[in-house]
Amino acid sequence: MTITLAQRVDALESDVALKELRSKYCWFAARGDVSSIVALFTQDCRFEGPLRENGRRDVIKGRGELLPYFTQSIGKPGLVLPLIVNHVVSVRGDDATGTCAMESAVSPLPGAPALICYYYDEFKRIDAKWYFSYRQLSLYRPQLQLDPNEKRSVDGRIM
Amino acid sequence: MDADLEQRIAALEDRRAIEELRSRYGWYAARGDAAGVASLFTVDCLFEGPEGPGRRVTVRTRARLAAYLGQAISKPGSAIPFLYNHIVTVQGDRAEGSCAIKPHIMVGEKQMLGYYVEKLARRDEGWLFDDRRLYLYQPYLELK
Repeated sequence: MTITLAQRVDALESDVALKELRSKYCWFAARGDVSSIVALFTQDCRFEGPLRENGRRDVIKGRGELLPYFTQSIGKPGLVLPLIVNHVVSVRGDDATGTCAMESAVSPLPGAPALICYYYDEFKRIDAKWYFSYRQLSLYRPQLQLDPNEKRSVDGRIM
Repeated sequence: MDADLEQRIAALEDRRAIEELRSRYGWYAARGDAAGVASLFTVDCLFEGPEGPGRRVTVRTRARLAAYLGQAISKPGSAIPFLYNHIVTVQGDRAEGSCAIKPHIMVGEKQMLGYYVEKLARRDEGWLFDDRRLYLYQPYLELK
């Protein structure tokens, strides 16, 4: 299949937009601006928090549930100061997946003075604008949360 | 190539150039090269930064900035800026954006962290910082 120049440019623009979406998430998170964070997600989004001691995650569905969840967890300025590195993005038309790493010198989690984490992301483009449709947050530190039965690849696709 | 496509490619090039401008800032700053840092700013630039809780310093013009940075970052390795969370919006020959910075400076037991809020201008030599303001996340929180 021949990829046109316009498609290649679109892929690069999408790559930029998706990385910037993550950056905006960080900007708002540092400020405890949860309504602006929620606006970066699709209406029917899904967010999964880090693994708890019981081996389960908080699973948050839709913007309506996301707002109180983030308000409770990071709803004040300076509770988390996220810096994103290691961006991976894979775009297919109006859908995309990816992973990235995140560090924060402070943490809202009890007993964790700082965080090193990673995200699995899924994105959707709606009316020419990209949104998170799915985010799953896992920890590297203070607790290593690697799933030996992981079903996703480094580019966030379900294998 | 049609005009729309050329414009979109130019926007991607602009964004890349601006991210690289920030990287060059980090390179010169790590080396204590005040003149190198100042060369990344417009002649009539503005730089603003923190000087302790509730206090800010403002420096105008490239020449004054070089003198100021000659005092502030003259020692190589005293700051090693790593930049994150790039946001850029380009409109013609002007742009604005933000990025986060970890300069690898400890203040007491806290790692210094901050963010820049920027306005940029395209000149004959390329994109330059026209108005760059540094705010802190740590050791104290300055939210803009």
